[in-house]
Amino acid sequence: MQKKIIAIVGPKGGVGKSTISANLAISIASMGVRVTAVDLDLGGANLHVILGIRDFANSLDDFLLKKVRTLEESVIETGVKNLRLICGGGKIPDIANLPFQQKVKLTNHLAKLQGDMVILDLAAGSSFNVVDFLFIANMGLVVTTPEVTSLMKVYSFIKSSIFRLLTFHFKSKHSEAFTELLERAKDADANPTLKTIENLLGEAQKIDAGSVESARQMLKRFIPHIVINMARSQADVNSGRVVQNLMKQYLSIDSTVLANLPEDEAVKKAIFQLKPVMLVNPGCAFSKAVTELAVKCLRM
Amino acid sequence: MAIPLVVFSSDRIRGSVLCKAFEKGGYEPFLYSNLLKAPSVVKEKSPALLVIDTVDYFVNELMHFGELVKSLGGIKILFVAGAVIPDGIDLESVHHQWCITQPFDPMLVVSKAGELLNQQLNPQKKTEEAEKTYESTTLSEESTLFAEDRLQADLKRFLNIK
Ligand SMILES: Nc1ncnc2c1ncn2[C@@H]1O[C@H](COP(=O)(O)OP(=O)(O)OP(=O)(O)O)[C@@H](O)[C@H]1O
Ligand SMILES: [Mg+2]
Repeated sequence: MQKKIIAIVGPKGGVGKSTISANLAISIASMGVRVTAVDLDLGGANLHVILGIRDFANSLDDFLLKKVRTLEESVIETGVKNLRLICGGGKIPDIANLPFQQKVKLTNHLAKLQGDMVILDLAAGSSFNVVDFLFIANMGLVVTTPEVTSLMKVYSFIKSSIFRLLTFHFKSKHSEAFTELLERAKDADANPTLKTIENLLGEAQKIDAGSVESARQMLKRFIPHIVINMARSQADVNSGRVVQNLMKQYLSIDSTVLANLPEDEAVKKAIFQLKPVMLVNPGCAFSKAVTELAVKCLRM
Repeated sequence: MAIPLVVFSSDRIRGSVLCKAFEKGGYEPFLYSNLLKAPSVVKEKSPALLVIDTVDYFVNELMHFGELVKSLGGIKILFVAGAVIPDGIDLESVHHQWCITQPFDPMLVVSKAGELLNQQLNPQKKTEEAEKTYESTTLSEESTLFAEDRLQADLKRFLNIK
């Protein structure tokens, strides 16, 4: 099995990224896959808490502050079979501030970690670093609640991710003309003819058709997997499809709605007990839905 | 014009009751029992929706149907179940929804079918049929039926992508 990196992102705060990361990691580990969960929410590290770990000797800080040479040395055991953890330290305020070189180094070391799978719990927001970790992953789960405010952030997050991809893509050739076009497209009000990514690519075609064709291929490979969390009704469940349709229509992005996770009191109760809900209550609605998600993640 | 749909039920009585309810809801239902015929029936009737009453089918029949359905070219499917959703059916990549109804409530199935059909409808161009379905379904809440359209309109407005 080739090592798989799954990034858990979600531009809005408190939508359940860490809860899902922790419990998904446990579920996948219980299927015999050797998982390392990594807390990349440097400013607000709490993955260890959700996993029920109070103290830890090593953390990501050791690696980032060069106290250890390899990322592997900052791994701790969780007590759950097949599941290891890299805690976020807390000394480095925000992953948004991670310099580019360090990001590259971290990326290389993530790929070299022992085991079969790495699950990245990322910070809220849409800083470049969050977006870039989404891109290095083999699979990106975009977590959102059914609320319109969260869904809006998802759309905007994916849109800015696309602009980041395109900016890099067009950098080498005709860079000035493309940059100017991308800048114009960002201001949709002033440039209504560049409203959709398709409009933008159509315009870019006039600059260099070849680069646009490869850009299209690249966008085709970018498939965000939407995870709706804290769903309470059928209407909530359907909300994923609404953003999915909008992303298809305006951003030319194929996404999936991979899971609908219900709002569940058991999640809160488990937090009080300082234990992961997947372990204390594997039969609750949330745990069951996460287990289904785990199966899908392994299949993809 | 009434919307054609195909109902599969292994129980003739349940199937007929469902069809009656769909007729009342303004649909044109066709009833079948042999799930393996689904591909040819879909070809013949071109229904807007397949309704599969899973109660009383054997699990392996349903699993087989799960395989067949992949060749049906993106048709929407409403699965009806009693207290439990039968597992083992692979419905990934199938546009579907479950309607769990215990005790059996045919009007609930009709309203769920309306919801599922409505999912593809454009908010500006809601067809008369859909309106009619909505009016005739006692159990459907306005909130669920149109929530998706409303959410889409809200998102477009807030994101300024109208
Ligand atoms: N499905 C659920 N049902 C009930 N409560 C939930 C559910 N998912 C998450 N929560 C609760 O919501 C809160 C936020 O969850 P969590 O910390 O996982 O979000 P997050 O997206 O990681 O937040 P942040 O953006 O701050 O990193 C927690 O109190 C958690 O227990
Ligand atoms: Mg978090």
